[in-house]
Amino acid sequence: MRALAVSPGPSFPRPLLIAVPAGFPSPAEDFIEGQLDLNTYLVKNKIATFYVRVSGESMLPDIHPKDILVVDRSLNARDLSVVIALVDGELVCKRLRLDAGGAALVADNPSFPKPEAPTASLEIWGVVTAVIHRV
Amino acid sequence: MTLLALVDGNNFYVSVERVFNPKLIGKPVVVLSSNDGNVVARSDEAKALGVAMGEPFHELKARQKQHPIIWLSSNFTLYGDLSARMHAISASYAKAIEVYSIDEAFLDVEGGQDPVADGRALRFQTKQWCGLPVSVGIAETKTLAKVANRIAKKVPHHQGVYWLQPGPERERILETMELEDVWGIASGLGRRLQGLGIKNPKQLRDSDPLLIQRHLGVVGQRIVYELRGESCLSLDVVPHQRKTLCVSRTFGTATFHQRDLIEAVAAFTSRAAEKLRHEGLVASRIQVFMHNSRFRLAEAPIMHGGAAALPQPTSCTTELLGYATAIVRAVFREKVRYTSAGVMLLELSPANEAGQLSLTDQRDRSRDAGVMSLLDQVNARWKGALMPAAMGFDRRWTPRAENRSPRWTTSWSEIPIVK
Repeated sequence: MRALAVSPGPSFPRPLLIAVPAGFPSPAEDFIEGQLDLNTYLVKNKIATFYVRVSGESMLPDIHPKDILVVDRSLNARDLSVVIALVDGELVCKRLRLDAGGAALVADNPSFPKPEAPTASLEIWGVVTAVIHRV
Repeated sequence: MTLLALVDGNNFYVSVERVFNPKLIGKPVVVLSSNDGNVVARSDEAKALGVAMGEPFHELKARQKQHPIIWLSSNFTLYGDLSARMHAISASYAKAIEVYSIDEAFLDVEGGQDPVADGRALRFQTKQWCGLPVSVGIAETKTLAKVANRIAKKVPHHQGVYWLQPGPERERILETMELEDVWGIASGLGRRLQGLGIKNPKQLRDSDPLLIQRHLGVVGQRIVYELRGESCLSLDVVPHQRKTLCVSRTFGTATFHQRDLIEAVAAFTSRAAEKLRHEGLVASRIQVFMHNSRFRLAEAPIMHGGAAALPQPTSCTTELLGYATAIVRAVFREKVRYTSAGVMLLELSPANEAGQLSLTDQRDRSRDAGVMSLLDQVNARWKGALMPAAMGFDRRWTPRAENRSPRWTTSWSEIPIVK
């Protein structure tokens, strides 16, 4: 199929698109698979997915200030998950450490202070599944 | 036997705000109606302080002297997004769903093995995925599901899910409820029932339906049957075709000027036409109305308005604008302090069923359709990029929203910041 644009003339007040059902079919026709869509690649559960923006350097080197994080609230956080947690009424991004002693939120950046002793409970807001970083 | 579940978001607008602003958790918080007029949502803490639903903003401000109460302007972009997510989760638990309002949906849960367990799972999932607390009320009819939902909310040990099954507990609940707590019974109806010697929902249920119909009409009779567990209000799975479409606003600032009114009415007309096209409808009649303040007793209430029949059913913004602005010019009066205006489109019908063409029609309808389709495509991509010049740029009519939260989920520049 080809599309022809007919230039406007006195009998055509507007350009018209005319489909011409002739000519050779494209050899690629049977192989067209649709374009790649980052949404389907990065978002597994649309209903539970939210986006947040990073402000600090606590998760360097992987996560930079101004990066956008894809957060899936339907996932259960495990040991070593990067999570969004609720700390003193604020949303923070940290790595979750879980062991027999309890749970702790740890910064990836070695220059940040070590966490306090693990606590019995933490409020997890969501699990980070991807980092969108502009270069 | 049918079985319905009513899923209702607890203090919905406040709960949505708390998902993205956890500092609001545990504090008295209210959300105000558009233009920061009245309280439309209250946190439990605000309810405990006695803040009433519908309380005007100035009364709320007076309370601040005794207790600090956090107030927020409504953020419908945000509430709409979270509402869609919440209803999508509910739908996955139902054979069919009727989205009844932004924060309520009726679910067909007939045939489930354990409706209460399913309700708990739905509740847990909605809390985890969206951060929203919901209550689930289960029963055979919508009216009884509403009762069940009320119990689910009020009695803590049900943990947000309650199945109002036939039996002694149901009898006791219906006996101890107020009539006005039943869905569809306003205070007027309640008083008339009291006059008939009917004091509680149980007595209403056991009344003669014909007697109730004689005094209260079919609406009252329907409530009797619904309370008996006989479903009269079926699930509305297919949305009704709307018959009218109204866009109206209270202005952020009152005005004496015709220009402001024309700009406001142009904006409302443009929005109404856009909604009309989105729903695939055309209108045959347009009505415009303008009010002065209804809350200032010193001024006599004034409503200026007019209507026009359209030569052809239409959804074309520019055509509708011509009529709307002409009506404003015709009905506008000097020295009136206008505080609100609105546009109503009436006699709606599906665009593809539009009647025969009129020979006297002056407009190039196919050109209109092309321009409108382009307009909608551009605005879908860049919201509000193209607008009719008649709307002006001052936007003095823009409703007040002095304390609105960011559009946390729909604008890249406003997503939450994490440390």
